[in-house]
Amino acid sequence: MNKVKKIPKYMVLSLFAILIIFPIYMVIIGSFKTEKELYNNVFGLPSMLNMDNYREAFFGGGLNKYFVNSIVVTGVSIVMILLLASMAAFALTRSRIKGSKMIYLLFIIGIAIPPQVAIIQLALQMTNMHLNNSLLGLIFTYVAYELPFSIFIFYGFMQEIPHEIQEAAMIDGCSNFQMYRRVIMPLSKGPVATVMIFNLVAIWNDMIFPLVLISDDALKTLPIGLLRFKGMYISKNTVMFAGVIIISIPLVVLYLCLQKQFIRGISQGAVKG
Amino acid sequence: MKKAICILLMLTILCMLFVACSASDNPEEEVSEDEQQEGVDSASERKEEATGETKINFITWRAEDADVLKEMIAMFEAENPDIKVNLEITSSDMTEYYTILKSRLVSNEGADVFHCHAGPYLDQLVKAGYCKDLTDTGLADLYEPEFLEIDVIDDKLYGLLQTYNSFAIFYNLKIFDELGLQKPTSYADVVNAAKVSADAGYMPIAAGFAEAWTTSMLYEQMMANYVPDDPMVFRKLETGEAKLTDEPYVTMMTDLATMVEDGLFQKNAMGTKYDASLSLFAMGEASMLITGTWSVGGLKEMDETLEFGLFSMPGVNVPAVGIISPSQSICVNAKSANDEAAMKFTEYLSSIDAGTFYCEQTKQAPTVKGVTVASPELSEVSKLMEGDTVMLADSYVQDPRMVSIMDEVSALILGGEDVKTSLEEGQRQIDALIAENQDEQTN
Amino acid sequence: MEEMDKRINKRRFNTTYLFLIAPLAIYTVFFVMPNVNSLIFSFYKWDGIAPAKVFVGFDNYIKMANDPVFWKAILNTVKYTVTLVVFQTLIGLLLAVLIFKTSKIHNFFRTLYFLPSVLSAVTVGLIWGFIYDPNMGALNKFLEAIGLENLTHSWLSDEKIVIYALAFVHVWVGVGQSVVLFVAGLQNIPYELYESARIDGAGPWKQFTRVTMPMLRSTTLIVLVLTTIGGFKCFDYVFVMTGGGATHSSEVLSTFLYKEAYAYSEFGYSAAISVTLLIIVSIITVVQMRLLRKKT
Repeated sequence: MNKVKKIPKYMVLSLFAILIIFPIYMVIIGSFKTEKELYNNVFGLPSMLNMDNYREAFFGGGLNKYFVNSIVVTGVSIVMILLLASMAAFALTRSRIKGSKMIYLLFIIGIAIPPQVAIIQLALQMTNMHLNNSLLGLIFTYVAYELPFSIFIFYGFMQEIPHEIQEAAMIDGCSNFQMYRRVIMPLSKGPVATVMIFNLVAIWNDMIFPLVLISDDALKTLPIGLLRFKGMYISKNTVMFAGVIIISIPLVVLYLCLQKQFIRGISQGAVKG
Repeated sequence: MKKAICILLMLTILCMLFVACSASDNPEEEVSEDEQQEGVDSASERKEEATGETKINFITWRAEDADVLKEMIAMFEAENPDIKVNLEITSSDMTEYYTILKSRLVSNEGADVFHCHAGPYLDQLVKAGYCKDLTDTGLADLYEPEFLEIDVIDDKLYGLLQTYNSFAIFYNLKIFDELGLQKPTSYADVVNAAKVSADAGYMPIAAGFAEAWTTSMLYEQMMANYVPDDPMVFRKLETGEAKLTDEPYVTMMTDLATMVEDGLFQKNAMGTKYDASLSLFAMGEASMLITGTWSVGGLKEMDETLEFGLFSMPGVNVPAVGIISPSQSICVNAKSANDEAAMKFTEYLSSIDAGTFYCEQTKQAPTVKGVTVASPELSEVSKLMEGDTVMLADSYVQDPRMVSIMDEVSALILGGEDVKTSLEEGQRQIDALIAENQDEQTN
Repeated sequence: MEEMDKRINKRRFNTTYLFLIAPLAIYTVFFVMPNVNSLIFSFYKWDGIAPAKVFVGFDNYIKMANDPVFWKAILNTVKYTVTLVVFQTLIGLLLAVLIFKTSKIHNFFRTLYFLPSVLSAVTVGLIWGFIYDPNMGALNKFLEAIGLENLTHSWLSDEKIVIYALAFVHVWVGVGQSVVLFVAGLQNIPYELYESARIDGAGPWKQFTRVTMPMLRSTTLIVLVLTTIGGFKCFDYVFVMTGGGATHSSEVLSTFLYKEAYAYSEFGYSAAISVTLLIIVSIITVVQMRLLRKKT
């Protein structure tokens, strides 16, 4: 009786599972087909396992170059964000600075403002500062735009750390910097993971900032590189599929290994307006 | 947490290895990366001119010509050892190209010589004072006069057209043979070819009208067919001298609707992306294709065995004329600090040797006087030009919005909207544009 | 002792400022300044290259109010947002109710539903752009294969469908996130509440309406607000798949402002559209805060 009851439930669940899996399945098998084969047979398995599309996407489409750019930008941005956001949150929570509430509010407003609002102005400003078309400019942008949410996470956590710990450390003669490095940060592993994963996904996948800030082909990041190499050669869907897989694999693998942290990081980040 | 960092690190290392291996596997890639490095360096080096060597920057979007341009630069540098030319190839996306070009011009670095399209883009740069007046430099004498006029604004010459394209219907020779079809010469022939193809299970003319600009290949052609002697046919709309709801606009736009009714294009043409239309033709699913002569090389690349012929699309009641669609023009930065070197380089690009080399290598049509190119790919293109030829009319338009309005009206009509209401809607937008531009002038 | 305390506090007071310098500087230069400039710029006219920027007062806003494309973009944005909100919330809730209890198989489904959130919008856009392709795409081919030829469409150019087709892609990506939020909400409902409802003779449906729904109120509100803001901000999927469409059939606010700046060099007008977008999103955020405060 119970089993029969569960049939509709699993039908619904499977239906949505298929909806998620099917496009992914199609891309994976499509990436091994020739263009003609894809046209004649979208759903079936490829006749042979040829890697030509991957070779063409990676070398011909320049994804190898874009890969390096993406790694550099994502890596450096995350390190800077972790450092600066935790420092700011530390200063705002652990000491009584005048106006710290106001400063916190200034940062937090940033969570609600969509990037589209200032994107054009940002691009113009970068040109004036000679930071357009440079990875450094892109990194600064990510740091500035991701700080509000990251500070929000660190602030929420550090506020909960009992003041007794701080006082004890002070009596031991701990300097401010030591307090940050030796006392508060080791306690903050949770928020560090959240901030790291959220930003990893956001920056690795972002398209809007490189779209307006980077026009030099050699400096593009993966998503924009993929978007543009579609227009550069006469496009082949199969090569595009191979490119899609190359871009997605790092994060998908990480996600499957660290599901809990990913789900926590991304869904907390969803609060970001 | 530790696990996360470990995995991240490992992935990074893996990626690095992958990239490192790939670089050594593929020497070409390595070279290009070095050059990009060079590009960055040279920008900073440019300022220190102690070496007595002048460095100039040449900026273009033409990635497909990269190798040819590099060779030409090498030849130029051999002749002029005191000048170094740095070639910068940006994105092949036009909005991106003009964004970067403008930023280089405004900050006055990195664009001594540059490529630009005749028409609204050139107009904007000239108005802002960034294009050098080339009228009395003697360069004009090196070009066939018919190609110069599109770069003339207020009687002054601001650019030198390096090459041009044409719009055409490509037809698959194999399929045409199989169906017993001949190269169409009249509208009735085209309708017949489309019908026979459709009956045999092929798509007729593959069209990718999902992107707005692609419709211009059709309406510009119709415009030229109907009024071959009036290149100002769009400019008149922009100035308010003519209205979209009058002749000849109504007739030629009605032609578009007739073509759709006659089933010339594949089903879903409005939802097909331009790239997809090329694929459909290259795969032999469609017997014909509407595109420009720039696609010749790319289609061959997709399938070497593909054989095709070209013809210009006739109007419903009039024969076809050949269209000259200007490609890139060479411009010199009016504010360049290295004017002398920039001019020398431009002169070199305008020489018969350079012109011949460029056109032979890139399979493009020549504009420099005395250049003749014999290549089988180009002969099909030149056949398009055998009768009357007309310069693309939107090159004379000054506001990019004007072109967009025409694109949009055509897209509406091709999508099955009523011709009259679409034209009225278009005229409303043009009126608003004229009013706004007048406002601006009085300000 | 008191004196020492003061000294420590004073030292701390000085050095903690140092901790704020770098974050504040970067934030101000690369976030605050462009946003403020956007506001200022919306009162100017500039083509991106002319030496002079002309002050035009509210002209850009007046032009916007008279621009049919702007209203089309607003309407499309609203349609997109409503579709997104309705489907992402309902489907998310349905799936969450089915899998909120912890078990291996439920975990598997949760992981799977969340997977698209890890993919880049560009890749999702490219994949779905192919699926929707009228000639080669999987969707039409699938419909043909199961004998529903008359349902095939030119999904991304048909004015009546395209915006919903695009919103559906967003739903495809976002459902996993609503599932996670609802699952968390459901797990927080004390079991006793259901028990006492059952004792009162409530069937499964009554339990759902009497216990689950009221207890999920704040979660639902959060999901609603998040999807609403997500809908108004939509750019990536639209940009990748249609770019707004040849006749603005899928133009939304973000693609519109991008085009005005980069295709037509109307930087001032583009700024005015950005400011409008900001105002809309701010209103939604404020309403959200009010509602949340009331309910909790």
